[in-house]
Amino acid sequence: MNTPFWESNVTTELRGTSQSPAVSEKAKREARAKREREAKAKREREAKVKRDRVAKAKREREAKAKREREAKDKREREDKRKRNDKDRKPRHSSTPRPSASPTPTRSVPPSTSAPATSSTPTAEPTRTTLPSSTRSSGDDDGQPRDYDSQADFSSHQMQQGTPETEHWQDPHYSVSLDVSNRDLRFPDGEEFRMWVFDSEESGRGFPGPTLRPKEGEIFHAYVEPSMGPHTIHWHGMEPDPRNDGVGHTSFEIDDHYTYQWQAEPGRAGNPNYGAAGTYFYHCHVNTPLHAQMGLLGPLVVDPVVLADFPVSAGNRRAFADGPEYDIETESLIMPFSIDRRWHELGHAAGLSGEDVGLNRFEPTHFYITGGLLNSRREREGAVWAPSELPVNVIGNGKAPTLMRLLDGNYLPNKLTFYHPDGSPARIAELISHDGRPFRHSASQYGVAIPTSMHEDPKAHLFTHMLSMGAAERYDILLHPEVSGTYIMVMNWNNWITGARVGRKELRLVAS
Amino acid sequence: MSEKYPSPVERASVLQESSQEHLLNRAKVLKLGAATGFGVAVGLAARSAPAVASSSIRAPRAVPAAVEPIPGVLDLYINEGYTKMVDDSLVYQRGFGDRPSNLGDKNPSLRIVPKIFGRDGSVTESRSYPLDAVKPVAGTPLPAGPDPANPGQYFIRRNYWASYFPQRTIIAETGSKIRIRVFNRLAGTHELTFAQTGHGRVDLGTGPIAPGGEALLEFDAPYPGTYIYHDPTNAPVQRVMGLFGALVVLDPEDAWRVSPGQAGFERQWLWITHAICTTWTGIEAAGGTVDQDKYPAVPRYFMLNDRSGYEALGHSPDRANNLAAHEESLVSGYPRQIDIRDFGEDLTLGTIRAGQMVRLVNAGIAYHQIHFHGNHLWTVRRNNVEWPREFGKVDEDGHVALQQWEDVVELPPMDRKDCMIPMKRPPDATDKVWYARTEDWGYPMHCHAEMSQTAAGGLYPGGLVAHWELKAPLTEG
Repeated sequence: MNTPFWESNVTTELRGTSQSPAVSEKAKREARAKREREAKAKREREAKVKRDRVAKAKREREAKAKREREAKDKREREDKRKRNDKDRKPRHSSTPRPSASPTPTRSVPPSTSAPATSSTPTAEPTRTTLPSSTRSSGDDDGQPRDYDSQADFSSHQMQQGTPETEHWQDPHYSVSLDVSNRDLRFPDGEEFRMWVFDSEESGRGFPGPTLRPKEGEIFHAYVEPSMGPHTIHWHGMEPDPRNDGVGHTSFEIDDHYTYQWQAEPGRAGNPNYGAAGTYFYHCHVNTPLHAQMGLLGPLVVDPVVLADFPVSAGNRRAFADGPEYDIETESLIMPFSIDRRWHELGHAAGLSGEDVGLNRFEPTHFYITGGLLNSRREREGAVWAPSELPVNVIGNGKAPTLMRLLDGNYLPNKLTFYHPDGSPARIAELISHDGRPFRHSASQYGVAIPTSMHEDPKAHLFTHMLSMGAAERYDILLHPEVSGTYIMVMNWNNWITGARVGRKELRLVAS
Repeated sequence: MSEKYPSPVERASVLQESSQEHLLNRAKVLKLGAATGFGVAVGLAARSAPAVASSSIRAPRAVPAAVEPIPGVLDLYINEGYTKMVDDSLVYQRGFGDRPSNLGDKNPSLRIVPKIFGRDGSVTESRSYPLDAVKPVAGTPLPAGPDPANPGQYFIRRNYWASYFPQRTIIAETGSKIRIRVFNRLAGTHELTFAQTGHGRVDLGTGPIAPGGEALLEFDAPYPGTYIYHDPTNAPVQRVMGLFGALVVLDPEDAWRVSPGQAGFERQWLWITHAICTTWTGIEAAGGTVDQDKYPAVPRYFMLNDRSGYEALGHSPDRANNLAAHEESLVSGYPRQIDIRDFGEDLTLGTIRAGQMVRLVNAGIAYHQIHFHGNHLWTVRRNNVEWPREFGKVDEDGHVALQQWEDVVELPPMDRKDCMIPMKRPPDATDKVWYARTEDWGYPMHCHAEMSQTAAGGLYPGGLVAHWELKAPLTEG
């Protein structure tokens, strides 16, 4: 099809270069694919050798780095104490800081559910700084610099080889992740070139390995990407910027880095605390492309166990003061869709200003990925996707089934549950969104009871239909009243018109 | 002073010259633009249209010039012009401007400096509101002082700081009457409509205004909240063309709440999102009418308060732009201890335990997924309807109506949501890291419908982005 005349309205050199004949583009793609196939075996061999080498060297480096950090922390503490002794006028806020603790304990705000208050403020701080037009930190050159253009900014995100994990603590939960590429076969038989996060145990599959720390635990993820600079953003987790995994607010990892954070523990009846819930992690470099290429994986934070909320055998709570669910039938469901054109692009496609069409996501393949969390078997080449899911029917003697919905897709999704007879099934109870429970919060400083724990049935958020979009998560309890096969229909909609562009079904076998 | 749009003859000569340069690059455009007084931009528009269509549609006509202002009446001029995108491309846009301007103007008036309709019948131009409140330097409210019981956190001033608003903003105090004269200076029929501002949430508007015509629109300020004004002609095409803005209605006697009895805040932010499809702008620039079935929208640029990418983030070489981005868009403040069960708490004289309110407005055409790093947001209202704090529901479209935490806020086209960013200590930072903090902590905000993170098909993160900052601990004295 000829280019409409009006598309010349925007005149850039990029547009000219993007108008090569279709035939030529096809030939280029085929040639590129051939080159990539030939290089594939070599890359995989090299990657394996590198992984082996990395695995061996990693522990040595980590041990060394840890020793250095501890020594540095100790020096800093001593220096600071000496400075404070000399200088009676504080340079920063006079707010007290707790002494460093050698164990990964976590001090908590005042134990009352209400924020503590004190006398009328006396200090009158002054600060009149204006924002600077320049970056104060280094970029890939390691030097401060201006950004002259968007292309300059896009192609010069800060990269650091081996950034330091500041204030290192011994982890309760740690994982080592690499970035790899390989062709993966999806349930419909289609094969795509994917980039994936993989651990030593997981093999290269999609999505990345499931990570599952608990509230209060120090979490570590050692990341040594072998395919150019990457990051990991822990979507929904909220650590300091260095551990948030975004290039333009911290750094991209050129060699290796250990992310560190600590999921905030929940408190009974308090809507201001607690991280237990469903999250995901993804690369935040050239994000539209890297996430679509497959650089994402599920992250589930389990709650602390509170004395007033014991847990029965075989069960877990969705959050500290939340409902129990049946571990065996707990699932994670992630809608995902693929635009094959994107999977032919390179790591830094578009960053220098070339029009690579990343504003056009036109998927032709739609998938319901995920499955039972407790029985996921991560292995080389596996695409995790369910054919059907078991669900506990009300009264079968087990706790309800929990389904964790994670939207790994770029388009709006709408899902609907149907009874075995095809009528809409109001069996889904929404209990959490984006890692935070739905609660009643009308009572000032009173107990903010979770909707899912309320004695009044009208408080519970039941539905047969749910709308959700990119990166959202919902945790839902399923309450089928009778045995049989229910159907969950997942629709993908156009992000402009709202028209349906894809549809998949998943059988839910209630017994 | 505006530069004059060339006559059809002049355009023709530009067309002939430029027709040999099918692949004018951006640098050439800018050089030629400088040499010819922006004539090149005009030439591009002419070149993109058949000569016949161009001459007929762009034929000289009587257009309203600046008029004598009437006290208490806001004059809006429907203008056209070329706007620089974040990749330095020039894209044809229309807009409701403050003054008459022409297509070839270097600085066409396509969006207004914020205006305020007062209860006293006045119309005041001001980037900040309340008018007598203290303007925060670089947009960042300073705290009242440290909160001794919560180390590293601060008391927040109550009813103290003004908020900056972006261009396109109209503020109306409750009890005021909104009076607007609209002058259509374009070749096609246009209109001005304020969506859902009438009784029963009906739209109020001028109706169609013929080319060269004018209309007067008067209505009482509606219920406090956030509304979209736009040209509904061939919707959503004219919004993509730039004919949109936002109306914020506030109670002047309770100006630090989104509505009476609702969440109080330290300061507020108005984020207007917008997307531009250059196929559509090209058709309209050439005098055509977009057939949406034949040419589905493919947005190419994505904005927040009319900025994208590094310009939205305040990283451009333009210091004035960067400062304005900080004042209007880049949320910042000092950490505080809050409880979302009561944002209006006033336990210490002159302070409030509340965050900052972000009014999210989608005047564009894409389904956005507004994602904040660092803090979840507490959503209190959608489309000026308060969500309950208890006994919520799942509506008929599968959305939850209950005040809740979100780290991704759905924002379909024409939707508005009021969300509190608590500006609390990032909950998953370790104690050691938090208590050692000496620098600002900056976090990204971006749309997770990732196509919107691009500009011109690439250039990540060149689209709908922002960031927010927890400012570093203060030095006393």
